[in-house]
Amino acid sequence: MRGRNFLTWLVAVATWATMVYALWNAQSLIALQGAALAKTLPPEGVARITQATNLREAPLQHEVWRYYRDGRLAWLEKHEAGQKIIVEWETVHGAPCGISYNEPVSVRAIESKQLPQQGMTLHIYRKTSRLGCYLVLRDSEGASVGVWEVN
Amino acid sequence: MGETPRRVYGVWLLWLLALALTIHLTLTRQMDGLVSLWMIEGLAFASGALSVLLLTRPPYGAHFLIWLPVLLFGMWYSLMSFDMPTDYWQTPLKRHALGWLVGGLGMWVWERLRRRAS
Repeated sequence: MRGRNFLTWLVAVATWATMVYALWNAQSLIALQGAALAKTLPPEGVARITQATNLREAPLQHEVWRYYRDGRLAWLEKHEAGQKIIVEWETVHGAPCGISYNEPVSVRAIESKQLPQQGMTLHIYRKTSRLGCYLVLRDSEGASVGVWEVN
Repeated sequence: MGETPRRVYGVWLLWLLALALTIHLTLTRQMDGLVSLWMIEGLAFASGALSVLLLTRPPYGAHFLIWLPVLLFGMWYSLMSFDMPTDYWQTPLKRHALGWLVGGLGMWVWERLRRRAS
């Protein structure tokens, strides 16, 4: 009986410890799962990258950028070391990212095999919460070469 | 309902290990995001079935304490799933509910067979 009581409480402690770990990491887990899911779905919007200026590396951690929109054109902008970094795209069809513009946004490259380049295709997937979107970069053959998350 | 067999705790511990491994391997990019989604769906189903086995046996208080953090994680995961590009938030909930149903039915059949045999 005593051994069983010990086992019960051991299971309780193990469960709480695992769930604290799971709760702590849920958001990062879902971002990765969301990016993987997005790549398998038909896009809500399709865009073509018209400009990628001064971008030397993808933002692998969350970074504060600004998001702007002007008609079919949309762009992400950041100032770093006196330089203006711009990634701009033109929506060909479908929905734009859907987040409020002229405001700071959090940007992160969840996957980054290649940096955005002029002429690349961008597939836009809005989050269910409508508080952000996934931008899937595709090369000329349609293969995914990066997924950026914008909130 | 009799005391909880040790193997129920054993399976529960395996479930915890599978969840922790799924999260760890996904975050370290050793598991594909889609495989990770399927794992979470499978684990949601298993947690439903295991919850039935756990909550219907004494000690009820301790078992509720074991079950509570799983419920909290499930709710948090579903809430966070609004970050997904589709209405995915319902999927793990449905799997979990199906697990309850299958677990409950399985237990009912098991008890009937046991009574008939004795």
